[in-house]
Amino acid sequence: MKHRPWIAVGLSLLFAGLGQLYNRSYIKGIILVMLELAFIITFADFIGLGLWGIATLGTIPKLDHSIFLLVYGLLSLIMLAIAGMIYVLNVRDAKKEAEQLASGWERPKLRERMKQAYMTSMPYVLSVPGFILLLFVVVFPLLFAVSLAFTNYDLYHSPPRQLVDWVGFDNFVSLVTVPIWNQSFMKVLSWTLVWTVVSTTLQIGLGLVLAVLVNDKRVRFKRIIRTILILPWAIPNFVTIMIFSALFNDQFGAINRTLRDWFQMAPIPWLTDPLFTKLALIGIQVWLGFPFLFALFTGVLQSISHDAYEAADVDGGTRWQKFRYITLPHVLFATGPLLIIQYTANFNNFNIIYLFNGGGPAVRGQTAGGTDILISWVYQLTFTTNNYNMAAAISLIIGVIVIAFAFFQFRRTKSFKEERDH
Amino acid sequence: MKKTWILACLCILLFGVTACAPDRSGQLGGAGEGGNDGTSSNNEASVNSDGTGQQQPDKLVIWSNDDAKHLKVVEQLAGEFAADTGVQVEVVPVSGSEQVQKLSLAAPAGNGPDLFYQPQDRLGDLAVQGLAEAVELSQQERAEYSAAALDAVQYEGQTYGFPISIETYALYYNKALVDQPPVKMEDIAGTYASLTDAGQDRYAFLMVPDFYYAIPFIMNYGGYIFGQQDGKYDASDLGLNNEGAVQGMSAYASFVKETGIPATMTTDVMDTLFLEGKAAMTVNGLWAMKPYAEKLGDDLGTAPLPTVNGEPAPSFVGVKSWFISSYSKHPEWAKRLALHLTNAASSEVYYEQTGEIPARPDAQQSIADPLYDGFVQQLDSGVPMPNIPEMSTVWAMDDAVDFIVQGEDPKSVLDETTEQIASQIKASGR
Repeated sequence: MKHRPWIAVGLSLLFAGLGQLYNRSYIKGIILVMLELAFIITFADFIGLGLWGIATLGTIPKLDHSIFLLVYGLLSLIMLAIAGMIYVLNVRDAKKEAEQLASGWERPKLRERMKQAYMTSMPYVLSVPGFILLLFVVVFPLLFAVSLAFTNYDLYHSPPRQLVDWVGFDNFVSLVTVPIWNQSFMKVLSWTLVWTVVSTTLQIGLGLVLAVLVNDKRVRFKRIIRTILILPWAIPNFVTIMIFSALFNDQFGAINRTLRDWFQMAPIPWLTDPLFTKLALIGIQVWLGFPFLFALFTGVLQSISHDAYEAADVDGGTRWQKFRYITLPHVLFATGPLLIIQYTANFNNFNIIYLFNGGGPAVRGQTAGGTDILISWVYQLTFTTNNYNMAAAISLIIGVIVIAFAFFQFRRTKSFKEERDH
Repeated sequence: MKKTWILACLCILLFGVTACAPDRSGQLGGAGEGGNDGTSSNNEASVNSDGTGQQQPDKLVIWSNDDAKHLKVVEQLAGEFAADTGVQVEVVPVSGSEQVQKLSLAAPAGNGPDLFYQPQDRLGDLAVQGLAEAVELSQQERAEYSAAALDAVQYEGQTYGFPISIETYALYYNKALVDQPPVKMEDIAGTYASLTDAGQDRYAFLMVPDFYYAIPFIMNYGGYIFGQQDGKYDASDLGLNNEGAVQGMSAYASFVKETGIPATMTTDVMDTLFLEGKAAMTVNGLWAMKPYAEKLGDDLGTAPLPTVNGEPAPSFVGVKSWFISSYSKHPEWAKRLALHLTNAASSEVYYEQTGEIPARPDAQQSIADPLYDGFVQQLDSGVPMPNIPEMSTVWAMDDAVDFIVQGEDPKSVLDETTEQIASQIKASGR
């Protein structure tokens, strides 16, 4: 009888492992059959409940807890996805082997096959535990947050007393139609972008300049200077921010006091004028952020070979040319990904905004304070009124922006490309 | 290749179609018992108010606040209850600010407490989420607690909590600088003018320009936060921009200006100035008493707030309470435990260890420390901070107070803020 691949495909579709049995791969077939049986017996109830739960989010208040049901549903989907992947592999395997058998291929000895299987599957076996961990630690919470953005989960639709329902894109629609959301959104978004770019660029610039200066051969007491420059990093940043907040106090802060006593200047409205608050925030962030970059750049600078500079000296390169064509490419090449992380971290730098002036000063006619960035605005709007659904929706938008930015930059960064070339 | 994918997806879909609603005919009856609408089990409660109707449980679980003093005294009092009744009490410290969220997950799953601890301003959240159970108190039981405290733990006409302690803010003064505390808020600027010299950082009277401390001005001129009907707050009726509120805030703005209170005053700065003897009087809560008394010793005095517009100043009152979980299997016993934790003897112990003012008149009278007098008197004119969930949007008024103190027109600021609050209430999903 001729061996027919389509029978193998059909059988393995019917039940995992049947195709392999037809192909006379008995061990593999039995393992797959047992796997599917075990999966169905163990998880059928849970997945049934989960899929029903994620579709309806519960039907009877107090008995059904929508949030639990959502979690079960997501877990079920993840498990089904894993099972589906194994199923697809099973069908492909059955087809491939059947085709080979049909074309008269001789199956090698068992021991030979074991050895081959070991060699090919080892990398997968090694990465599977990490991958599964990743699914549950990263992908699952992400899916949960994304799901919430499409529900009406707020205080008045909170389990256990009430059920949560799917509302589709309603939250995103109200984000652009309801005045308290849309009035402030663009203003907050634009300040968030300005804040991110200016404060991060300045802190990188300052870190680089100081690193290059201190790295110069002629500078003495390098060790002490480096230690001092790294000190701001050693203090927990919320302490620093609170102290700065006191220093910048309009009337009692040391800064305005000093300006008054030494220069007879009128008090600067650091905490009551949005412009000055913004300046102060950027200054504080630069102070908080530069030591890390200084340390980072110092490390890279010391690894640059002197040969390159000597060669440049021979060719009569100027100081600027040496910096521009030797130092800078080296430094940026090695630190690119970390610099991108600095930008994304500042984009979501909740601590400094919230602790310095609570996003204030208040601005008339809008719900966001003068220095609120997206993340602090979301916090204030949603956690005073428990609008978890809106929080999830705005977080989703923030996530998309950050991911888009990071993705674009990472693709342009040489340090990642290099790896791909090898 | 593509075909196999499609087929696999089909298989999964088929599997999904077979997933259907779980059969819960057996559980349905039980749902009414666990979560309640406040009616059925309440009737039950009044019948068996002494707790004899319910079988004695082995153990009750109580979520106390995680602050060390509070935890210690609760453990002591719970131990007494166990010795009296033979019911063990497990005291679990859970941070007060996290209890509501944890409760909403733990209680339905059967891991919640019988009794938990919350300030009364969270009551609305608790009731809306169906986490706290309304309690039926007899006339005799009601009479034990101060009326203000019981008012504060009412939500939509039903009593929920067992008040533990009650707090508000009052006037602190430095006897070395001020002989007699002022009687009228409006007189402060004139009477104590000599004590104020901003250039030298000297101030006669300081209070943080916030909505929390400005409420006496709004209320005594006829403003209000939410209208009230039959003991229920009406969140659609905001009284923060009516004529009285506008007058009150205008009076507040001129009071702040004439008295010379800096617009950017913060609690930290105020405390520092008062402790250094540079500020003669401050308005602050009970929580400031300990640090103040340590530094100033016998020079520290307290008094009720000076009158505003000729009437006693209504300060915000907060009440910390025990609540019975809707998911408690032994609500009767939980009630007995709560009554024990808040009885006269327990309240005195609680006061001695935590320094918080008990929510019972009898225990209040037994407070010997004269520093508490100002606060106990102030409580008489206090108003409970509204406990409906919509209150969280009202704090937008903090910004309004800032603007008005900085000299902007009260009417337009209040109109704007009230509109903001109203639209935020609308967007909150009720």
